[in-house]
Amino acid sequence: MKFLKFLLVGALAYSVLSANESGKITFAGSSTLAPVISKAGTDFAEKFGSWDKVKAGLPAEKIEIFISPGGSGAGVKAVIDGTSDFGMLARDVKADERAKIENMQEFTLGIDALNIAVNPQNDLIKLKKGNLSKAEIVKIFSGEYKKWSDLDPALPSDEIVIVTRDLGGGAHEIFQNKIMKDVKVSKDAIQAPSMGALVAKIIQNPRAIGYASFGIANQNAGKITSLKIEGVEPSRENILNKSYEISRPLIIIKKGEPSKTQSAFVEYLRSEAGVKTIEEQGFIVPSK
Amino acid sequence: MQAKIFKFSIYFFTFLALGLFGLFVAFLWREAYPFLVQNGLVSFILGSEWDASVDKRFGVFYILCATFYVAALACVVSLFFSLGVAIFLSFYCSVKFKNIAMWFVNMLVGIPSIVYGFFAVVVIVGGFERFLSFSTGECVLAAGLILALMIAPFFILNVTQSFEAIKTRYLKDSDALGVSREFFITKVLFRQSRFAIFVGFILAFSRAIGETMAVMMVIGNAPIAPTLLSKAQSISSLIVLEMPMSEIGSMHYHALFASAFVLLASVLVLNLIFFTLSSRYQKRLASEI
Repeated sequence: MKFLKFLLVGALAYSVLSANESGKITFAGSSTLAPVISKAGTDFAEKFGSWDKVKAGLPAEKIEIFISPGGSGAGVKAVIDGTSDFGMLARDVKADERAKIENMQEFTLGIDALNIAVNPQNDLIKLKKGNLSKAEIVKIFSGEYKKWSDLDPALPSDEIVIVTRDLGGGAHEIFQNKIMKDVKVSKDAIQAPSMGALVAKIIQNPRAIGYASFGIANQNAGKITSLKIEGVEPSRENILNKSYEISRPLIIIKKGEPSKTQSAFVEYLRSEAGVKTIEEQGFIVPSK
Repeated sequence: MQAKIFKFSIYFFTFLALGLFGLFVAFLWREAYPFLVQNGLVSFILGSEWDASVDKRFGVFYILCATFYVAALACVVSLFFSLGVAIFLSFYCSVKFKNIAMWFVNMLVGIPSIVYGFFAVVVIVGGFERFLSFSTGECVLAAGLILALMIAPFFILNVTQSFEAIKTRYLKDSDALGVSREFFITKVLFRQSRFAIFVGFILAFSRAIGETMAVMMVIGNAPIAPTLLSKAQSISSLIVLEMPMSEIGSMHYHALFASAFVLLASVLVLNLIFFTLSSRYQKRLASEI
């Protein structure tokens, strides 16, 4: 009994003593951005080791960057509650969210786009030269076209399997706002919990169609095929010049001015090395 | 003095446990309240449309049905499967084999639920698509099957234990009377273990209702009216799917908490019913002996 008491007090003391705030930066939010910041953070920590090697004047603390994914909504909440230094968002900050964060600082890291993708075995690619009009996309996703043969009689009369992200989430919101407008997505659509699961479904099922994020679509280039919308290809140039419409910004937000160590890391994310990491993950960074 | 400390700690921990449970319910209620005050609990439960993107209408009727449907299906399938396994292990194999088999069954409990989910996606959903030519393999049946596999160990362990007790009590008498093993199993064993199987069923049902990851990966997450081969949505997968992206403080956020509250409340009510039934049953059994 005495030993247990001692252990408890010791554990409490250890946790209090080992809390050094300055060396640690925490990020919370979008599961799309999380792997990017995580990789950048690891590279940054490996390259420099401690903050004083990054820039003179910074404390000699070990660089520790913690990422917790949980969705853009969770990222905003973490910043509002103060449980995280930065929030990662894969969408614009909403007006009422902005109002809740005093002195919000926002940094745009890149742009993500959504590709409409089908399985490579789908004859649609050959028949329509890999192109769909916006009206056709709306009819497919709303369930008005139930079978592939409704879209084009030359296609087999198999049921169209629609895969989307969760309908209330940030990724779908872009698709809804830019393409579907007021038309609701079919109730029958499969809501995948993540982009990875969505792409896996399209790879597995020849009748599936869905929207995959630009990065993941390119990573799986042979296994899924991205379609053009109204003749516009989801390429880097088209996304940057906004001729390809389904895109979303990747931003990190903070309550108040960033500290010196935090600014140093944000600078790294915007430097050549950081941009390279972001682009390697498949996102687009507009060149200045 | 030591006795006093002991008594105090016992009281403390008991009340702590009860208090934590109460705190949990209170927390859910507090977060769900803004939504329920605006929309009403009854219209929430009976509303059949859940739309978080355009219309912002929140009704969990089909989702609640699907949750119970999947759990009940899993329990029924698992019951027959587990009974078979338990009878085999108790009566038709050597002690050594039984010990090894029980070890494997115990290991099944330790497999993380998301691993079961991956297995189900590849084997069950993929199997439906390839061998049964479903347009897409996600359905209530797939979720029911993987859940049945996940709760089978609980059933098997529970039932095997009670079978052992009955064996010890009645097997020698039965053998002395010259009655066949099969007669013993069908006439004596089933009757005596009815209560234990029932309790095991309740426990497994409660477990199955809350299971999230494995169900979410194979149920299709479409909040439509559930049939055996249609896609559906269960409450736990609804919450896990939509909570990360929902805006904190919005009606959607509060509606998700309301659905969690409804789930908790229905599990509580069910457990209460089962508990009353089982205590009445136990009294009847005791009076029979």
